[in-house]
Amino acid sequence: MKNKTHDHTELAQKLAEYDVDVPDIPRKKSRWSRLVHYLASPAENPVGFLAPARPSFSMTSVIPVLASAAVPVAALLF
Amino acid sequence: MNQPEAVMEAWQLGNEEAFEQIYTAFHGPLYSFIYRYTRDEPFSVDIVQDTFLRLQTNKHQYDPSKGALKSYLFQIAYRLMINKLNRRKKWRSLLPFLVPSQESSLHPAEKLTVQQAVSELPDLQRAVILLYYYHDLPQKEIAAILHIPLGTVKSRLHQAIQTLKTHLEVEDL
Repeated sequence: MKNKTHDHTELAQKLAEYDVDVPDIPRKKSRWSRLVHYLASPAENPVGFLAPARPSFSMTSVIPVLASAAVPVAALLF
Repeated sequence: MNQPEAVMEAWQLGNEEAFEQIYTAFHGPLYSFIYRYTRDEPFSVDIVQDTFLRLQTNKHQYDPSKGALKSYLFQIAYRLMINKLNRRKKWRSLLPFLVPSQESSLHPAEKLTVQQAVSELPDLQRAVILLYYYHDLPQKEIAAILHIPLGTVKSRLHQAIQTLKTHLEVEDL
């Protein structure tokens, strides 16, 4: 970083705290790794608006429980 | 290492090892610039690779009499970055859920403050302050890299310094 002590000394010192670790960057670009990165990168949930805002019972969580409980009950009855 | 322009000339004349020297000397600074601008590691790696790919395909277009190799590379990287960010913005507006979500990594409080202060600057002010403070570039070369008048560089630099001093609570106003 440039030594700009003649102006804005304290600001230059603050900015110097922002260092960056440079990763190993292969010279040649791998299309495959780009695709993998794109597919694996975190994205917003497209149906996030359907998720309940606070913890609650939803049909998707209740139905499997009811269905699995119904099997032994049906076996006992019939 | 020789002057970068001399190394570039050697590469233009067919010395393939010279490209390795150029890459070693500049991939770090280019990555740091793009990363501080975007705070997106894979994106920054992509831009660095694209920059050197562009340099390789147009290696005879570089003319040392028109400017330093460092400025030339930063100019390529900046344009590639802006084009890609604009494309990303377009995709974001069309398909918002396909755009990678922003992840914030944990850092010590002081560093986070500096990073946030820099990343919250308007785009042009951020580019100017990064090139000026972190990459030792004179204002004239910054103007060439960003393709803006010298007066705009001066005013954006002044505005950015004032904003950073306020956000970082630096007292030598």
